Amino acid sequence: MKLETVAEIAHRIATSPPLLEAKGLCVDYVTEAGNIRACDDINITLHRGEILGIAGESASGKSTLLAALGRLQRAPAVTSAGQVVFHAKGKEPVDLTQLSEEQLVDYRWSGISIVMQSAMACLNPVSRLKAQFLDVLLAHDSSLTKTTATARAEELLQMVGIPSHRINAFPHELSGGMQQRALIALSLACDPELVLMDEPTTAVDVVMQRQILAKVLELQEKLGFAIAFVTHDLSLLLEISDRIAIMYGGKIVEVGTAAQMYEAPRHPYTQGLRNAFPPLTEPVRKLTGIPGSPPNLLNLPQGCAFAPRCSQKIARCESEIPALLDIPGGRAACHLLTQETLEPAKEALNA
Amino acid sequence: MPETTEQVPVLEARNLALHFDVHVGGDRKTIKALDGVDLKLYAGEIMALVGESGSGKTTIARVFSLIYKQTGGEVFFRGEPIKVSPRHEREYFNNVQLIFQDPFASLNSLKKISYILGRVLKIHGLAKGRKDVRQKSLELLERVSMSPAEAYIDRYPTDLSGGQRQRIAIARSLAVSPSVILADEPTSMLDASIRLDVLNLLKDLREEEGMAVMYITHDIASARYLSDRISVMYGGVIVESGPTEEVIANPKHPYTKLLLAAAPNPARFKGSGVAIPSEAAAGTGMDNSKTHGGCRFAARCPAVMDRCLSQEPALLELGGRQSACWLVEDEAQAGTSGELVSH
Repeated sequence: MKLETVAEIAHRIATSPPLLEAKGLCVDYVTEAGNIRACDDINITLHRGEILGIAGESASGKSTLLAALGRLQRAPAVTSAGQVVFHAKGKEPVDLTQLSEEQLVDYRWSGISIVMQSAMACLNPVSRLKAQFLDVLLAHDSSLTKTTATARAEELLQMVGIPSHRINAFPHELSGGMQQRALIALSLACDPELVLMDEPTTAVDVVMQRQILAKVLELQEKLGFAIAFVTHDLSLLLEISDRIAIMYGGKIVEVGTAAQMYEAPRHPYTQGLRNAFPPLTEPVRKLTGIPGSPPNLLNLPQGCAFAPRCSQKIARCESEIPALLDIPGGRAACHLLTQETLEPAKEALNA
Repeated sequence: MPETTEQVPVLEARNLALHFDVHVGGDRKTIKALDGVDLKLYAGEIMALVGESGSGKTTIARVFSLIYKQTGGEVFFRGEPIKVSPRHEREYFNNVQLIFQDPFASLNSLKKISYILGRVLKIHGLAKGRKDVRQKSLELLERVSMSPAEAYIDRYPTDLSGGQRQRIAIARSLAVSPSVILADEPTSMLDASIRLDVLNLLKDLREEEGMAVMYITHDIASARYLSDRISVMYGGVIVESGPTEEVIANPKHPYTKLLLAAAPNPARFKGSGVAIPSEAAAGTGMDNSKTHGGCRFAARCPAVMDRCLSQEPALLELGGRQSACWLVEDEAQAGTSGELVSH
């Protein structure tokens, strides 16, 4: 695999056309206790061939965001505002939120596909892999016959390192890692432009995780699809992502390149996440993690959602929600940064 | 730890084996979950047991918590063979406690925290009367930093986050003031940001109360953070063990190297120019039901030799640490003649 430098990654993203844009996207869960806003005003652009990591704690809204991007959310989740603009190859950009289920079929699998966390729950336990692959392939490409589709399915399995004769296996006959890889093969069946991955390696051990990731990265390099990868494990994202978005309390609080996130995270929450995993090579020192627990989305604080846990908070944090602003190397939503970076800049302008 | 070698270990396994006889579609198979494990856990130390799924690490915890009965070898508590009878078991559980992996499954979600903690206190006769039970339950919550304890004791586990639930599970195991805690992947169900909390709690308990902890995990980075000694398991045996820093900084067994290469390492962030070692992505776990001629790891080993296929290496002594690999045989001999520099 080729190793890019930070500058090369930044250049590649900057020159690559947009593939999927979320504009002011809001997702609510409608409950008896009131609407829970799990994603609040999400603005992010995913470029062609980019690997975007989305990290956050449980209940930060990261999986909800992924489902909303793929128009896969089910009641009680509702996309209450905003757009998801998809730039399919050779087609006009289209707002997916405006499409009906029938119209969306054109974009499913061939435009956007998804890999879920629990492979065993996603694969049908009572039908063979072959039937499940043919189902997808034949539904989306009318030029295929059963024979050619089977050949394609075998090719897909081989691509992820599963011998093609296993096509007749039931999911339970495969190991956990193989199931997950079969699911990845299935997601690539119709040559998608974007693959959404929702914690695809959380249920497997580190060795299997590494194998799956190596396979995903190899295929991504070969086929050029974009990935939105959701996980709570920032250390993993740093290794694989071009850019990383950090979510907290339903909002994106920081976006930046992997290098930026590792070397100089700007938001106090990202800094906390960055220091929350024990190092493998650096000297061991006492780490503290992030005190407190994630916010209750039904009862968010008036100001910044992270303020109650933040060690660097100022008075303004408790009254005013910080906006996601451009900073050098990315975007971040923190009052500390507006004071430090923007006000001096304004003064410089006035002077 | 060299200074503790004279002591009697709190928990010890000698040549421990656990073979499961299973029937799969008319075939009889023997799955060798453990196949000759020697292990010592000393008072006040944290030992990490690492390995991938199916390596037998959880099985060891289950043998020590009397969930499984071994089919070979012996287990000892403070030098005495562990007796299994209801009376002995209660006394044993007074000293050895298990924390499960999944705090969403290990706590009864229909019962309040006060019941969950109080039950242990009552069963073991550690508190009498409602007031005393409640008082002691509150103290337990304080010990796992769930404060103010009053705010938590009348809540249900479903009101709590994963990290808080795992604290309750730890508080429950602390009720009997155990001398050993067996922690079976206590952080793998938790968010990365909350894991540290639980690790620090285990570390504090060792420091403040001198508890011994057997920390079972597949996350070698957290094992490094927490433990004094590390034992690496593969295919039902220990393939390498020694002081944590030495094993991590200078792994001898190819399997330990693989585990280290596979672990996420943020220092290899994209754009850093550091490649992920290629051995990380090789092979799958061992099938414990198959017989193996030589080394269990030979089929996946990048450094396999002829000898590895025919002869199984024993754990070789390497100046305070052990490794079961033919590659270190020469070094092991050097070690016994005093040429190996240890620090």
